[in-house]
Amino acid sequence: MSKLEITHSNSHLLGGGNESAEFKLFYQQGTESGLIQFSLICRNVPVGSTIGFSSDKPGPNPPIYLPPTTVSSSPSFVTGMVSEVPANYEAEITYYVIFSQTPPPDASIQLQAAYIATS
Amino acid sequence: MEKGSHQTAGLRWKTTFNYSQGDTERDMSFTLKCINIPLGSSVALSTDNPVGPMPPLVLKPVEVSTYPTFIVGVLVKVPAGYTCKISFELYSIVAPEAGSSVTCQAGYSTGIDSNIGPSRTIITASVTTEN
Repeated sequence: MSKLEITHSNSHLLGGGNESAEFKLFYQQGTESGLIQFSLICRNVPVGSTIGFSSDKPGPNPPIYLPPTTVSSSPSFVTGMVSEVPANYEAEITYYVIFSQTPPPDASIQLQAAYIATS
Repeated sequence: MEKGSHQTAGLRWKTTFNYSQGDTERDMSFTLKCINIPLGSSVALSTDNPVGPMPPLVLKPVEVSTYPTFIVGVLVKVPAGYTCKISFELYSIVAPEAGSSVTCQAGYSTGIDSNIGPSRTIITASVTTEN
C-alpha cells in the first residue's frame, strides 16, 4: 500500500466578499531530496474561479508552479503537480484564488505538499 | 488551446476498474495524476453507480494545464459497502508520447497532526494506464 506523507499543509477560509485571496507557505524540503506532490484543495469555491501557485526560488524540476487553473467542480476540486525537490531547498510558495462570484462563508483553500512513500 | 477542446479532441484512453469502499464510510479523494500528457488534453472520471457518494463521484473533463505532471480530482464522502465501476478517460488531439500515463488514485487522510492537520493519505486504489 502506498501513502502520501504530508509534510506541509495550510488551509484558509475564504469568506468575506473579497474578489481574490493570496496566501504564502514557507516550504522546507529537509535534508533529503524527493518527489513531492503539491496539491491545491478547494472546498465550496465557486466553479469558474481561478487558482494557482508558484515558488519564489528555482531548484526543483520542474519548477513548483501551477499556472492559472479553472475550478471546474464544486463543492470540491483538487489540482496540482509533482516536482523533484533537491535537499535543503527552501522557498516561499504563493497560492491564490480569483473568485468567479462571491464565495460562501465556508469556502476554503488548502495547499498541501506530500511525498510518495511505500510500505 | 481553447477551453472546451475536449469536445473536439478524440478519446484516446478509457480505463474501467472495480471499486469497493469496504466496510468503513470515509471522506475520500479521487485524483487523476497525469505524467507526460500533452498540454490541452483533457481527463475525466465517472462511475456506473451514482447512488451513495456525496457529492456524486464524477469529474467532468478538465484540461491538462501543466506539463510534465498534472493532478486533478474531487473529494467525496463514500458510504460503507459502496461498490461501482470507475472509468477514467483521456481526450487528446496529439498522441501521448512513450512513457506517458494517467493514474487514478483513491485515498483517505489520516493521522491528525496538530500543526499540519492530516499527516498522510492512505492510497486504497491505484490504477494506471500508460503508453
